[in-house]
Amino acid sequence: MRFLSSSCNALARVATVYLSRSTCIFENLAFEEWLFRNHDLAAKGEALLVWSNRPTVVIGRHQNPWIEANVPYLQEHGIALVRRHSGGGTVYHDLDNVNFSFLTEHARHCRPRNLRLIAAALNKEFGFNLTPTKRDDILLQPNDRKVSGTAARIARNRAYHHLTLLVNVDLRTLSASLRSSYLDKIETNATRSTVAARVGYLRQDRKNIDKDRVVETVVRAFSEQFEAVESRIVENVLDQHRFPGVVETYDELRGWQWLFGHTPKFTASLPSGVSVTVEKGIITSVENAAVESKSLLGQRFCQKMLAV
Amino acid sequence: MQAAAACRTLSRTLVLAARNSRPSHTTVRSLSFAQPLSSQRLYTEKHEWVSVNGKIGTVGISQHAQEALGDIVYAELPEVGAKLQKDDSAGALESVKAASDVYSPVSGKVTERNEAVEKEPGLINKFVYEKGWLFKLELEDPSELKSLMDDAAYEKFLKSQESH
Repeated sequence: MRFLSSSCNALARVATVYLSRSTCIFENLAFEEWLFRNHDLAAKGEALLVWSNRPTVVIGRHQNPWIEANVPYLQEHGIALVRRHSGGGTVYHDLDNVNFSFLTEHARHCRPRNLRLIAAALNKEFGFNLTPTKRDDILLQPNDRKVSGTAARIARNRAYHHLTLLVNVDLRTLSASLRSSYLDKIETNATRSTVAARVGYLRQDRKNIDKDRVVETVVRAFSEQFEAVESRIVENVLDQHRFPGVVETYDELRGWQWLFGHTPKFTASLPSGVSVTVEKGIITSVENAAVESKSLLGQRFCQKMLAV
Repeated sequence: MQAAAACRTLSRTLVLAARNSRPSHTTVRSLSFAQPLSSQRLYTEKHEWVSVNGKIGTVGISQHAQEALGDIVYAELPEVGAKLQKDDSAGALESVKAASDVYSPVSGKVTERNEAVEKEPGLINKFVYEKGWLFKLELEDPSELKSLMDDAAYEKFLKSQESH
């Protein structure tokens, strides 16, 4: 087994860049998970996956969707809701956001290095003032506007660091998507998002900037670290022949069991004064209830129960 | 009851139990609660530990793992009743936005999960070998313990990792 230096500055020979043509969040996350488990790091080196999605809210692995997002608003506006496998907080993004996922051996996992690479490359090419923070956000100066958030997953000696990068976004849709009406109705120790003081996007400072040039710039900077880089455009990320098992992961991500059933235990105060405890998405106890409300027991929790 | 008095009573009870159950040629060893438990822990290369009492193993992560993870903000633990094989993923710990898988050192059926760390994940960082345990399981195959490392072997393993 080849041991790579754990220093953040060590170089390696080869890498692979995957550019996904899918715009479906479930497909892209399924493919990312497939790469996480199957990409041959020894033979093909580190991997960088680049992808974008139709309007989506993505919650972290241990979060509660009903307090991190406005679930009814998402349903009314056809915005997808998905739980990812990595930790961290909730993000809204659409086709004008780029996601980068850096896959490495655990010893070479270095989020600050990746963020410095992206910020430096974009600053140099477009004259931005992008600054990574200790929280692994990227801020656009002046005024500390958050344009990127980060999360990571570590398992079996491998790790990925993925992040969003807002090229353009409708801030009203973003705010509305992430503003839950039920913050005071739910009690839980699920992980909470840290709300950014200000959210920004690259087009605020460069009106003509487009996503393709941003991707090109970052991929070029990434590639310069290696002696050889193989770049692959993936038209169909759900190809079971090339990526056996990817469809199972896709099905799991789409299922109720993962999205809602994986919500950490919480209690919710319903409008009628009833209080319910919800474990794995199912109501397991009911307090202060008249006999009729006891029928809630064993039911899947849904936001309609919180509405007046 | 005062805690110290309770401890003394318990010690005496345990010593008596040991005396009554031992074959005549062994000497009585008095149990002291000041005795470190580290001699009972066995470690994996993925930095989990298991400590066995009868057929039940208690599983946690090592001091090294806790330091590497940083402040743990969420502990995802296996369900009671879940059947785990050795090296199966048994859950995950989230710290600084990274979700890190936890693996079971041995095969068995989960009998208990530590609800205290579910409520207060920071206990894992502060009391990694005591209150910060993660789950208990009934061992299926105690011979699996032979492949794990004791304290000394684990220390040696950590040092060999540092040089890479």
